[in-house]
Amino acid sequence: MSYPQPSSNEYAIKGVQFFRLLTKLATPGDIYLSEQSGHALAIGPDSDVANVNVAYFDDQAPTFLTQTLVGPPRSFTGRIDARNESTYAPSGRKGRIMIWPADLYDPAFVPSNFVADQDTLSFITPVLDVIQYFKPQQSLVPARNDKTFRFPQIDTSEGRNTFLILPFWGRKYASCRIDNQSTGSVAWRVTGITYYPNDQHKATETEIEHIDTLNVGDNHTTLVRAQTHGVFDALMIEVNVSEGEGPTPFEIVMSDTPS
Amino acid sequence: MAAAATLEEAAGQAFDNLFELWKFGASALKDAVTQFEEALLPTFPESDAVGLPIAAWLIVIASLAEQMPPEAEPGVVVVPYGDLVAAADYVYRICWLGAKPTPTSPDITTAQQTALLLAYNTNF
Repeated sequence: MSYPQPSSNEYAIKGVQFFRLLTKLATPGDIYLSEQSGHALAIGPDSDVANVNVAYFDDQAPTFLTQTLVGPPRSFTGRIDARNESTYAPSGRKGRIMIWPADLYDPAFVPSNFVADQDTLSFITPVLDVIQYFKPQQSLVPARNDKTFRFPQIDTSEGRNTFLILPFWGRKYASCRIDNQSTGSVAWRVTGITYYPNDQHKATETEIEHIDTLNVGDNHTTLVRAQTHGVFDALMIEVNVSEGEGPTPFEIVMSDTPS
Repeated sequence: MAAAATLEEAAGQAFDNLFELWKFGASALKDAVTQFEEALLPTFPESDAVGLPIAAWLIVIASLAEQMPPEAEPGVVVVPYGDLVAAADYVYRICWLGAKPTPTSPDITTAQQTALLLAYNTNF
């Protein structure tokens, strides 16, 4: 969570018509506050998080708190109250809008075939992008941008597995391409990850494709399709260079549009 | 389950521990979640900018606990499964947020971390 938290107050005071909450997630518990009422909420174009929970003040709710979920297929248009002068029940805390990712994230996840003190594991930090509008909106189509992740070079020390975890919430398609420009053969695996809370640092791992031997000079593309493989919280890329050295650049392009 | 030694461990155990309370039936889950948030409210005042994110979570989890149905008759599970999942999800996120303060994200003090872990182990 970025600190101090981005504040919607300055945007409202200065007459900007929207507040864009654009930040990297630090923990699964990140939650953001807005003291300003608004007229619509939508996912921003650069969000890795697909689904966002919003809690707001509602006089008719028993605890004065009502929640809604916004995501790429569904924004929320309508008045969303912060009501700073009122208090939520039973906590007695003042009214404000609260925004947090509904998608699950586990930064403690360790792949099942990860070897400690040998392999490397890196997470691409997820981005949260939410837009709160201060003027009424007729309708919103909160489409997310396609995202491209390029890795020109990774640690390919002999025998070492390199794992990369990329956020994939709500995505319907990915193209994962590796190019073996090293002097030895490369093993390549693409796995879909579904998180669940547990104290063993596990997740459900669904292998999408495994290439044992990608010869020197060859390249390979793995396609991930929601209709074929299902949907996942993250994609895990695993690369192993059996011998030799040199670059094994790879590129992952992901989209909300099935291809 | 043994008491959690760290907040990260507590986060990982959240679903299992809350499931046991839910399975037990009656008002066990509702009571535990209520006592958890009531124990923490004084530790995370909204006047304290440092603890504000966790204070915000307490608003959300208190609202959920309040709306869980009360005990219908002894031994009968009355809390919907969806409420269990939501409660476990909130506890998971609260513990994670408490576990990971960084120099650029001073969202909790050491004393607040201790109070959070104590409230978790006492109630779950």
